[in-house]
Amino acid sequence: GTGSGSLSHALIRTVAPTGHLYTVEFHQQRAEKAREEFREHGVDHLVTVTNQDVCKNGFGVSNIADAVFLDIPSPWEAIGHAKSALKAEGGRICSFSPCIEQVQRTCLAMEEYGFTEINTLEILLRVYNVRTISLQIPDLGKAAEDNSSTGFDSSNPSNQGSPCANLQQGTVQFKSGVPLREMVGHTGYLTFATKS
Amino acid sequence: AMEGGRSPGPRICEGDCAVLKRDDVFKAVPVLRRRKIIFEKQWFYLDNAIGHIYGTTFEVTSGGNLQPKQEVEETTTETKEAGTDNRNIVDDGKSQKLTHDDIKALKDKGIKGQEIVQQLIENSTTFRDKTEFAQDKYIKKKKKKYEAVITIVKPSTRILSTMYYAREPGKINHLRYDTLAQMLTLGNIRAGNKMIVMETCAGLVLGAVMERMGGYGSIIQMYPGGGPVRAATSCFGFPKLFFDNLHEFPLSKVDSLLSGAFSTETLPSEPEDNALLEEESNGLTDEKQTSLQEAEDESATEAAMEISQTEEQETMDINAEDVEFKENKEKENKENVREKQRKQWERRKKLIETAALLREKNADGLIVASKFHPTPLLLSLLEFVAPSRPFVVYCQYKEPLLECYTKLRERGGVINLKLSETWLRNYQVLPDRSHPKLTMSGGGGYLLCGTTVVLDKGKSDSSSLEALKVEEPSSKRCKVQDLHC
Repeated sequence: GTGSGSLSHALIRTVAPTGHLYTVEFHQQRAEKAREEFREHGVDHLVTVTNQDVCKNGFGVSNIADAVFLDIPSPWEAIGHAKSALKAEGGRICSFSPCIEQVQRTCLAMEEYGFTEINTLEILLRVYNVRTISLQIPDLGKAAEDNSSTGFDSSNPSNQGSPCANLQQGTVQFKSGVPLREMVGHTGYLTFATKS
Repeated sequence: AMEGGRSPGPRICEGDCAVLKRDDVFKAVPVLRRRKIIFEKQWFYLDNAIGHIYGTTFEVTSGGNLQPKQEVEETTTETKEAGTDNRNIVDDGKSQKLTHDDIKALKDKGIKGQEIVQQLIENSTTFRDKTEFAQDKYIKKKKKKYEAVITIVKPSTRILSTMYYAREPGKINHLRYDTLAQMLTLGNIRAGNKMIVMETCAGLVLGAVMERMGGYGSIIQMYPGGGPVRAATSCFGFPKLFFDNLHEFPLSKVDSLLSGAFSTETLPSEPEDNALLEEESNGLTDEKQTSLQEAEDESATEAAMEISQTEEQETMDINAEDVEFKENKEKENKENVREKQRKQWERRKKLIETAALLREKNADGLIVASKFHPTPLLLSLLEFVAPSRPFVVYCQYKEPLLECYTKLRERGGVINLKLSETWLRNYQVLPDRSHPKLTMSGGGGYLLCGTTVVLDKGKSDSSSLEALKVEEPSSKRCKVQDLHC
């Protein structure tokens, strides 16, 4: 499932200079565009793009892959082909699917084909913005009529350092790692397994 | 189509570091004959495993020997008698008719785990009333307990990082494996890089970087104290050539290297060595060069001790016949001293070479993952990195990275700073029984990453401190012709 070739580039980066990536894309134009980009980026010697349906015709290689990655709508249909592309022992497979139903079918197929260590997970990336935050100190009034300070006393040595209080403005400042207001919630589930 | 041969894969060899696996439990062990191993409440010897392919599953026989597990057909009963729900099942702890002693007797007879599970099912009064799901769960649980199979797997970053996080997270500053994976990608770790790695994760991070680099390129490992810890690194089983371009440099020398004051102490050594040392040394400084000095003092004392021991021996051997023996002994001791000095000289030579590599200030990336506060590390080690290169800092806690971020903004010379963490959620996927299992968030550590740029010492970035705006736009297009593999 080459698609844009984004993941392919990352994989090529990882296996260079002695490894090779075999990627299959069933859309002819996308396959051609991918080939072009690999050429432009000077990595075409490290990758082979095959234009076919991996579910029907497989990867074009057998018994050599250290790992197989599937990013297609019906990965369960490609599990058998993935197995024959993988090396005899110890190869790893990963399937990426947005829907749990796809995951269920894929896990079943993996089991049927004798894969072991089948494990589904998802990873969420949480990004934080580093911000200096100022919070106001509330006015709780005075405990008594005299001038003794009450509540948060910023001249008190124990309150020095961080957070630092600004008595003029009545605020406390501190650094915080603030989550983004809108973060990516879900892209897909990752299912890993071993051919053993 | 390209065909791979059906070659079975690497075999377990004596001297290897292998990983024992049972379900989700891993343990790294050295493969040695007649060495008793304890794993998952079982003890055994690895002798019989030697020669088998990695990935083979074994059973432990009585006597503590390993035997490859035979492929057995799963007995599936044609019609599984099962109930619909548990409303009439009373959990009184009496539904299993076999006692502890009965089970022990079966075990002692050498009855295989699979058979024991079968016996337990047959002797359970409630089994056939359970729902199919409950029966499945019951069988899985019993199998886990009684079918003690062990798989021997070849170490890899995936396996070792999972193992360390489960068994000894303190040793790796609670660096979870998905965070480590992020570091390798964000750091663009790949063959041919000149990497600087500073870690106190037992050498796990170093091993992961070495695995990615495949022996190509070079790594300079910065270390605190007397020497780098590479316990986990040796588990990977890398070929010797991977270590040819692995260098190390003490953190305690970093400041002097940056200030230009770095030198190695000149010590009385072989005449031909002095010439080399004079060449490299900038002359002695007032600065105390702790670790190297200590190492040199140590070996000098050792040499001195050996000489005095020899003298003792000589006063005891008054026999004239031993004159030749004495002469040989003296020669031997002189050789020992020379050997020690030679080794010292070797170490010093390497130190100078590594210092020269650092001085080039052209590293392709920096990885920091340690128990130390990241800010001082980053501020100094970034000096050795070329512009337009990635760096990644791991910290178990978020707050030090907040400070690091702020200090980096003040320093300048970095863009695209990003502070992140990854949440990991495991799922149980079974027909009609799929649901999340476990969430690991907050427990995997935090990452700060960014890209170096040419440091314009004229501009100060402190003005942007007060108005920390949204992150600067990242360059969306990089010039294609500048990329090379």
